[in-house]
Amino acid sequence: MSKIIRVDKPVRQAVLELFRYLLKEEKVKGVFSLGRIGNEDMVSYFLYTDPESIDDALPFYPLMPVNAAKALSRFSLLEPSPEPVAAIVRPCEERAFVELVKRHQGSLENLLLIGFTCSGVFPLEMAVEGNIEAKLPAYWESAKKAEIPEEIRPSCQTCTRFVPVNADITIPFTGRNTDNECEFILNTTEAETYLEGFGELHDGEPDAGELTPLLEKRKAERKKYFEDLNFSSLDLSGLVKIFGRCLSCYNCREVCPICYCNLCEFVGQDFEVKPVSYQTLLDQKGGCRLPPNTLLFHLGRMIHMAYSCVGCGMCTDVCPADIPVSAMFSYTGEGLQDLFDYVPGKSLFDEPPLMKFEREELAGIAE
Amino acid sequence: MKAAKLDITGGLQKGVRKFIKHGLEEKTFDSILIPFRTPAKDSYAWLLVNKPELLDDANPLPPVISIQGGKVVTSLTRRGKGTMKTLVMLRPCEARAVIELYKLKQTELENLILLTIDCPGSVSLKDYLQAPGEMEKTFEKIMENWGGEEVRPLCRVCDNFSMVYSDIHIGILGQENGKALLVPGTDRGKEVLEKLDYSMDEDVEPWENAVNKLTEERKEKRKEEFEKTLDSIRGTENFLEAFTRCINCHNCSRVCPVCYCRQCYFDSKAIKMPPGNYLSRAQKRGAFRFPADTMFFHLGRMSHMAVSCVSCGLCEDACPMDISVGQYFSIVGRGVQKTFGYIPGRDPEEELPLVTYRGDEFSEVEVPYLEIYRDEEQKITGAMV
Repeated sequence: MSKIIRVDKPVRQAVLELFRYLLKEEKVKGVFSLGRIGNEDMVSYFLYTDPESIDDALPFYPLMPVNAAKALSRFSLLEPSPEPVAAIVRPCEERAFVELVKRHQGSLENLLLIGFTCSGVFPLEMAVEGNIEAKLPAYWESAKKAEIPEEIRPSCQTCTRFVPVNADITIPFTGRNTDNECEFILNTTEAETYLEGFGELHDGEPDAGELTPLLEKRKAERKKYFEDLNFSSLDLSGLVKIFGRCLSCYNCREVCPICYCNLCEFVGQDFEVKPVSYQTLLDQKGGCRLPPNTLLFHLGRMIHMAYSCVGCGMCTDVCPADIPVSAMFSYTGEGLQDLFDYVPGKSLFDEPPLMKFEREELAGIAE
Repeated sequence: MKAAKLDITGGLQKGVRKFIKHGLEEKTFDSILIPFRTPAKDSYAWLLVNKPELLDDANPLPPVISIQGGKVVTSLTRRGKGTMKTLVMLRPCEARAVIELYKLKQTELENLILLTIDCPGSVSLKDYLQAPGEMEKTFEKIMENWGGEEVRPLCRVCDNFSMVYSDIHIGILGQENGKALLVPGTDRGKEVLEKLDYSMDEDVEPWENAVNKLTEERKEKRKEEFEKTLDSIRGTENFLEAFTRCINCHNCSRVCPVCYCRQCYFDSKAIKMPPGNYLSRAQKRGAFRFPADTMFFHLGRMSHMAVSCVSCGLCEDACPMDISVGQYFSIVGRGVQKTFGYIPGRDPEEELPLVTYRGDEFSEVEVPYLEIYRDEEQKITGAMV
């Protein structure tokens, strides 16, 4: 049994009203949300502190300029927030942040997490082309009907984890008509405290039944997507083909919410090649690629983070060489996560598999 | 000055390949660093090779710059110069980046032979990736017309498309069909050509004249185009608007050949603040953008590297949000370079302006300040200024 608050307003208005309430009543000192920036089809995360400036917030805008986990990590990296702050984020962002907190890269203390069922986001490229506004009406309609909106990113089309799992408050968005009605499902007692006085509490059983067909649809999409990419039979020459056009710009790592290292191992001195080693390489093979270690970087990064990959798709979105990085990492990540029975971001208390020791682990392979 | 003749009757690529293969066979150098088409034929990658037979797929002047040659050279020499002599095939902006990196102590020149080539510009990475095969054909047209609307905006107005600094330069402009020049730029270059029995019989004047003529045209065009660009970003509001879409991924700096720092200041601990700091900054203006410090990063990077910016435009190509960052940096860079009388990549012995101390540098900037602000200074400090 959960507590639910219903507000008879369009979902965005209801959320903004909640933000204004929280700020005015000084229940929180700031609110993290996506908000309009500039005169274009563009949004950015903002930390809003003024109830008036909240008018610019667009929490459901289908674009991910940055995985919010990175923004929240930057905010709470050095210490927990001294004041309560609310944040409205997508399920993959929330899960990535939980993974970061496990790695001491941020803190959930004093943070009221608000999540919503997610219909996916458009590629960043569409913001560049400036045609998101025109696509919004169709997007909202698809979201309402629990369909997969057209032209959203492949990683979103094939996402099966679109329901928040750690949020203090969940807003049913996908599969609901939210034109004039919004529900706030309070999952924690903290949420009840924060929202005390905001609206009438109802007892209710959160029902996400409307999402089951969508989940099936997405599962099927996911299966087909990976089959089409033919990852299961990928060999070394296949990998070389896919990553051959990589620029070694490491932007996939930069925007990855899990890749938090200040200095990535693959740009450290250890992976620089000494002149004498180049000489040896040439003597052996007659030629070598420069800068070196292109594939090693991707496979290494995969080993370092795939078990925590939340499939947010940021890496593919920013790749200047159009490599389907996210598909590959998500595919491998899923296999690895199944193997360890680990769902990244599901719970703060699930230890990442590579950080704990189990004597009997994967014994089958050892034999 | 005289130059050697390079026979390109079978095409430019073939002619250049023959020349470098010859050098490798004669052991005038031990290895060659040059772009190759990727196995999937969808882009170009740099390979270091020492077997002449591998060079058949090398392309001395690909339609697209995937990774800036300056960066590639750094990865070869960052841990020392070694004993291997390497010939590096570069576009002029790439060679200039190598020279800047040499001054910044990020590469060694001793065992390198820099070979540059007249450059008609390159197509953007995005355009190339969309239709690699088609772009190969487009580039043939670009070579014929020496430019065109298909090349990147920065290349269209590039006025350093020919020899700036290199050991040997391949001159194509102003030459009859089937012929190019091998122009020695340094004693080292001259030595290589001599060893390979090239005689210096060719007059460079037609080439120089063609280069000078095009340079003047490009200078005009650059002025014209960049005045428009500058107008569009003039004033704080317009400038901020230009960077609205920035997602703070810093990819411009990671692909920049001049931005060599392993740990960029703007990714470092130094700019990470406790949450209270962000909250109070947000309170001052009602809201605070996250990730933080977007403009701080761009302006900071600009002040760090604009003086050495070679206008290669790789930053623009790698920007996921398609911000014209290369054009902005090129405009500001050229301005800064002009005030110092500095041309990046012109000469390895020329000192970087920001590491050179001069007693009376920019004193003309100081005088008006005192004239304008004498009273205020006096109010603040209470002393006679």
